[in-house]
Amino acid sequence: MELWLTYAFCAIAVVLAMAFALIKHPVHAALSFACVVLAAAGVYLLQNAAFVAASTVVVYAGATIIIFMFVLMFAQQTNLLDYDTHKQNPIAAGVVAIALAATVIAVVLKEFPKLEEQLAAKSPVAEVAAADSAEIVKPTEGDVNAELDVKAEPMSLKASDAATDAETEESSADVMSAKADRFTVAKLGAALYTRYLLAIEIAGTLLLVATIGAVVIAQREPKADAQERTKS
Amino acid sequence: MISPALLIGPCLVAVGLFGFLTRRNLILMFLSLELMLAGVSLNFVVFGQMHDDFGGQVFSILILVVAACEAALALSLIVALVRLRGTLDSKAWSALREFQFDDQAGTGGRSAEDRIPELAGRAAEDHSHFEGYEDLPKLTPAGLDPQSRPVDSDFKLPDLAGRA
Repeated sequence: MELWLTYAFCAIAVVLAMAFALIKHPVHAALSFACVVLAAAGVYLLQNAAFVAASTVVVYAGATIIIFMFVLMFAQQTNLLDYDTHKQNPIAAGVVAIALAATVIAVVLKEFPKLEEQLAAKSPVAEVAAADSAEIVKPTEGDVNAELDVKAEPMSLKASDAATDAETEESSADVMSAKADRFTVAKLGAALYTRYLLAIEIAGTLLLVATIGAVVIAQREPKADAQERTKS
Repeated sequence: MISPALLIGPCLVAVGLFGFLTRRNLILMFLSLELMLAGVSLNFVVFGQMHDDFGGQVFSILILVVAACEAALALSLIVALVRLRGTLDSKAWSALREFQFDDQAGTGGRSAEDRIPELAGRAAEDHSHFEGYEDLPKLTPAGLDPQSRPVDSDFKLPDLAGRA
């Protein structure tokens, strides 16, 4: 179920991202970008990253898109202009983008099995689950051997297979719920303010500097304003 | 089993790159940048989950902060730019770039040096919609080898000099 949801969110994200790149109307493009971000937030939720999902929805789909739309409508009253309808160098840009995506995906696909092996060797949960399933499989195989009924053997083999499948599914579900327990928002907060304290401080400083910078840049001729104020 | 989210990240980055390279609307160019950041932070979260660690989530929160700062600064810059030129077109801000010097098309066997007036005329056309910027310093025309044919220090593009 979770896997299917992940697939669905990923498909929505990619299709709408393509739409974002190809749609001519800027407002429609911005809306499809918001939908891409919402689909990404769905993927975050499925990855036990509830806080990241919520803050993504608030910051991206909320604040950023609304303000961008505001500026878009403030700066561009007419609907479609020449610079929206005509792309520059679409073929070259497409080739570069496809080459980039293909390279990264190829590297990920090539290196992923190694990473999975390393993680499986490291993770204690996986070891426990593997030990559990091994213990459970052994007696059922013993039963199959003990029965020694030629006609019944294929059936019982299938049954034992089904049993082991169910067991592995259950154990993977256990692993998932254990992961969900370990990735609560409270624990993220604890990690943020202990191990990653420096990162949080840097982020705060960055926000402060950016706020000051934005105010300074967007100011409209402060001297003239001051003169008008003193006149009146 | 590889998570599809791991493959989506590079796709989002590539689509964002495509959008950034092809769009001419300043605001949509910055939205493309945000799309690239979103793809990267998606991969951070998935890899962090695989490593059973909060590092990925912390990184994606940091990326979120950087994206918010970037949006604030970009918007104030765009507002300032729109006040000056009255358009969101990024081509309105190409006054300082080098003009095109394509040696292949229609040279008719003439040397690059002989074609300077023609090229300068084209450069002037290129810059013609930037009124009040005729006195900007011009770069040495690309294609002339400055080692074998040094450009005089008082070199001026002829047509532009005539206009001014």
